[in-house]
This record gives sequence, structure tokens and C-alpha cells, in this order.
Amino acid sequence: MKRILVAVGVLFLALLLAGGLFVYSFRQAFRAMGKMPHMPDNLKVARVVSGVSLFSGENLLQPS
Amino acid sequence: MGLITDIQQRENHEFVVAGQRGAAFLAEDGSFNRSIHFEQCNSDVVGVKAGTGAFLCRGAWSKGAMLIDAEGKTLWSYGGGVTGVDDAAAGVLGAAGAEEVVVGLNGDGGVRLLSSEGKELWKRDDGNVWHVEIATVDEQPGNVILHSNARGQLTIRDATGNVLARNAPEVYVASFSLSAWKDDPHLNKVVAVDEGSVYILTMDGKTLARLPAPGNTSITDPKGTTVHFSQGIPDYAVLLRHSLWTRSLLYIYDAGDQLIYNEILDHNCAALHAVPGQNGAEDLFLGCNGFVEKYSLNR
Repeated sequence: MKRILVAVGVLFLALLLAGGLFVYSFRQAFRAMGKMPHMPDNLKVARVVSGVSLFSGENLLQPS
Repeated sequence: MGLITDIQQRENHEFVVAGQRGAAFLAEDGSFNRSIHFEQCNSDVVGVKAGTGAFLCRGAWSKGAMLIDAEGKTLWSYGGGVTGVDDAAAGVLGAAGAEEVVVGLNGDGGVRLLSSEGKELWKRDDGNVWHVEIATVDEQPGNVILHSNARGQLTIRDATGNVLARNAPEVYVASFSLSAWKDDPHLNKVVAVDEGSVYILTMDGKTLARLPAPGNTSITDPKGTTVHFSQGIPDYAVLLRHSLWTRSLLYIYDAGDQLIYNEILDHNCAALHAVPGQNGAEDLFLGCNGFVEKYSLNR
């Protein structure tokens, strides 16, 4: 009887652990879906990458 | 005005600058004339001629396509919400010469043709019609419908919606735009993009050019235009917008398709237009969030 109780207890703990892992991984995946992709490092700084002396700019409509 | 998504020059040389919340009208020298406001559009707004409509909000899932008159009044809207609109375009289709609006829908919504009064005329099945245009076939009378779909194919349909051609280009085509290319003035070359390259395609999917786009890391909305910074020499400008990061990439190529200018802007910019400059050359207008930047070649 004692052995059966121990087996049921172990099984219960294993199921609890597996369930916890499943919920955790599902939550992580769900959170990742909602996250904005990181801006690539090369886009972080606004700049003229090449040809800086070729063109001149003029602002025609001021930011509203 | 919000994000500027279209710049056109009228026959009277006035520039019409269309944004997501209104439009501005500029004199030939770029000075401000007047502006109108209209209902917020969550997608590109383009200047059109469709009945009494002067501007088309091309539509998105969150808000459908809208036709807006010259004073900024919404004439009608179509889709949005359950009917997920991906894109819309207005123009003259077929031999009858009627001004109509074609709408591309998400999922299995297909392609639908609306009259300039917003009445549905026909519906054809297709999957995820990401982007749609009304285009001219080289030297042939009567415009056709050109659209992309879930498989990344380019489909050409006639005025009744029948498929005339369906081709798979070497690049998956989702969002695209139309432009002229080199000395061919027809606005029917497809501008598409993937990581690191911009593709210029014919309407039937053949690659005319593959231009380098260093620093571009994902598929996005591409715009392109031929621009003659020097008289008689067709340079080419490409604009890629990454709205998620409020960044835009401007590339300018010389007539030999070599990249000569590359800029990263910390604005959303969505309109590109070549305008007459001095001595037969052209300048480039770039439409961004509430302002227009003019690029002139240093001489």
C-alpha cells in the first residue's frame, strides 16, 4: 500500500513538473510573439552612409 | 498631414502632397499654397481621379479603403475589421474607360472591383492579395490589374477580373510599387525588395535589375523612381521604410546601377518623386512625416 502511495505521489509530482514546464514554455513563446523585433545596430544612428558630398537637401514643409 | 505617402505634380505644375491626415498644395518653386485635412488613414494615401474622388486611402486591416474628395470629405469607405483590406488602387480599366477602384483582401477575400461610387462590381478568388495596382501594359490600350498574393506571385487580370498571366518572380513579392525604369517612361516596372537587394521586375516577373541595398534587413514597403539629376542620364532612387523602428533607407544608383548614395533617416518616409530642376535636370522630393525634403545634385 505504501509503495502504491509513493508511486502515485511521484507520478503526481512528475505530472506537476511537466505541466509547469509546458505552461512556462507556452508563456515564453506567447510573450516572444508580442515583442517588437530589435532594431538592427546598423540602423540605430541616422547618417549618410556613402555619397555625403553628392547631394544637398532643402526642407520644403516644416514638421507639423 | 501626418506621414506623406504620395507626391504628384499636376498639369498646372502645382505639387499635391498627400499624407495620412491631409494634403498640401505647393507652388512650382516648392512654396506652400494651401492644405486640406481629412479623416485619418492608416495606410498610404494617393492622389487619384475616380468620379469626384481626389484621394484614395489604400486601406488596411484596421481601417478599410476610403475615397476622399478634393475638399477632404470622405465619400465612401470599404472593408476594414472583418473584411481585412490589404490594399486598393484606383484608375481607368479596360476599353470602357471607367474610373474604378480595385481592392485586394487578406485571407481568401480575393480581389474586388468597385465603381467610383463604392459599389462592388465583381469579386474574384485569390489568397492574401497583399498589394494591388492598376497598370499600363507597354504600348497596349486598356489598363490591367496587377497584384501579388500569398504565394508571392504577380498576377495580371483584365477589367473583368480574368487572369491574363500569373508568374513567380525570383523574389517573393508581397508589397511592391510601380515605377519607370531607365529611359522607358511606362510606370509599369515592379519594385520589390528582400534582405539586401531591391529588384526591378517586369509585370510578368522577369528581373530587369537587382540593386544592392546594404543595411536593409527585412522585407518592407519599397518605392522607386527614375530621376535625372543630370540631363539625359537616368539615375534611380529607392526608398525603403521600416515603420516599426521609425527608420527609412534612401538609396540612389547611377545609370550603371552602381550605388552612389546611401542614407539612413530617423523618420518614416513613404513618398518619392522626381521634379523638374534647373537646366533640364531633376531634383528628388522625399516625403516624410509632415515634411518634404528636396535633394539636389551638388554641381
